[in-house]
Amino acid sequence: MLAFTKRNLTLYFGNRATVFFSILGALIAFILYLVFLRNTVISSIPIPNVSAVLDPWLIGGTLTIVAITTSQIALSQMIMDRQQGRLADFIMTATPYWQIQGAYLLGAVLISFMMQILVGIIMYAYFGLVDGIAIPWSVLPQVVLTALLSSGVWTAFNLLIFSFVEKATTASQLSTIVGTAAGFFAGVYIPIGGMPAFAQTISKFTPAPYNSALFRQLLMDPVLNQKFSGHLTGARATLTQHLGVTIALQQDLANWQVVSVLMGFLAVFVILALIFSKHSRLAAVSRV
Amino acid sequence: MADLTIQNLTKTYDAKMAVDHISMTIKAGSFVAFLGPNGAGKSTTVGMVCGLVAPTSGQISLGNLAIDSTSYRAKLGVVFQDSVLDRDLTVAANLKLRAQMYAHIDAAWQQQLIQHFGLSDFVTQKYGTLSGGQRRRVDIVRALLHQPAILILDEPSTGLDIQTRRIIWATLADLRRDMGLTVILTTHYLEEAQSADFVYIIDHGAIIAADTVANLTRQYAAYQLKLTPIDASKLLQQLQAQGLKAKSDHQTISVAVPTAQAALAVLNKCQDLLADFECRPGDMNDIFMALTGKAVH
Repeated sequence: MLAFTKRNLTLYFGNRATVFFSILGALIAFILYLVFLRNTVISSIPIPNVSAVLDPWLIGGTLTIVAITTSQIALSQMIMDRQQGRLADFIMTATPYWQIQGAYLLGAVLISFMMQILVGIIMYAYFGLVDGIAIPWSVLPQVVLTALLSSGVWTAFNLLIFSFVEKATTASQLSTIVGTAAGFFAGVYIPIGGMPAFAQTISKFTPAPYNSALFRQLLMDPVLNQKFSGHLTGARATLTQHLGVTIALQQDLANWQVVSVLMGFLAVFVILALIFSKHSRLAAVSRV
Repeated sequence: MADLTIQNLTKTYDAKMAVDHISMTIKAGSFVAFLGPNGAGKSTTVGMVCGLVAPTSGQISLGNLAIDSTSYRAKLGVVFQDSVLDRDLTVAANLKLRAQMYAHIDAAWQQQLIQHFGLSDFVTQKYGTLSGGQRRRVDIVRALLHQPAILILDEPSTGLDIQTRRIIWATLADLRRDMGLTVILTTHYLEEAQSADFVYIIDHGAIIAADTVANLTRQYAAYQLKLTPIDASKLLQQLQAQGLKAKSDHQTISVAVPTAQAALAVLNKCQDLLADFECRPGDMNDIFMALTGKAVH
């Protein structure tokens, strides 16, 4: 199983085009934001030196998009193997099917995790140069754990939707759709507070806003503590709700509650994927 | 080693019957060929024998091994119709990965296979950069890595040059002799089935003939005589007088006769009327024609 995971990683990182477009696909949200949206968002928030707040906000959202898109690209190897008959050959080996599937998942989790770290470094390097913001070292362990959790959640999500996909072309069309939607659901293009009520409700049925919120809580906490001390907590709550740093389900969710919601999504995706795995196994092998 | 037994194997896709009640016993150590045109149901049968396609009905057994067990699959080595190795990995990396996916692979055996099939020169090359013939040899080595008892080759020679085909068949003949390997070949190449111990001719999912090549030839493939006449009408008369059905075709006249002796007799009798002649023994194509009324392609 480890050998097979290593193979998936080698194929992903060995293909420069895949890695390049994975990074670009993630950074495109970041670039689009800088070029088109930043000024609009800045003007809607009346606080001084707003980039110190918005930079980590954007990073938190973008990392969620990275988790979604890269785990999908990594898992599409599974679809290609299935379509090109390689999966049939793997099934003929002594390695049980669950281990083969496990290796695809483990590979996707690792790839998605590494890409989040990589894109995170790129974005912090950029904002460090331009706005002088610093990596919040104190929360780094939590950020790394969050990246791991989001890799898990989105890998399970993509596994579930790929249970119904047999062709590589279908997978890439799905990637386009999911990639585009991800920017909105993760609250990167528009802060969740700026969305219509209906859109807010819809997006709360996906893990995306919770994932962004968790990253943002961690990354923005130091700067928000600095800006809103003492009597300004009311203003802080308004801002964090508007920006999707906190998510309200009846009341604002605490950090651990957001983690629980994400774990819940993970569990649901895994259970559904297992239910549909019978179907996916048939699709895996009936091509002969 | 046990024989591979197939009983009443059937596979239907929606309304289409891809495999229609196929039964056979493949003796351990034998070389059998499934011969038939594209779409005859050969690959579906192979898929079912590999446990990759669920049969609609019927049984497959190898001794007392269940078809969906790991120990059953371990007895099979499959060369799939399409290449199934990773193009972006080297030959060595591909073989190493597959080896790691089995419980125990004999490294010395692996080296021996690499030598046998002449892979040494390009093991460090990426699989995707190899020629079709080189790739096929790697595919076969991959299929034999775990020392299977049965090697299944699904249309292995499609698009290969004659030299590569010879290397492959010579090496497989050695392996059959040395390790008692059972070989199952599907092909629509007639000359490839020629060296098989037993041939199943499959059309529209059903076995339409099953026999040794020698028996099939005797029964269905007559000697083909192609005569170039000096005087066409006289020759035709002469042949009809001998009770032979002659077919006139441009400059030549074709006649089918049952044996080499009969061919000699015809040639002797018509000697004075002939400018030239050709004689060839019947091949699998003639057999297929006789059975189905159509050519393989």
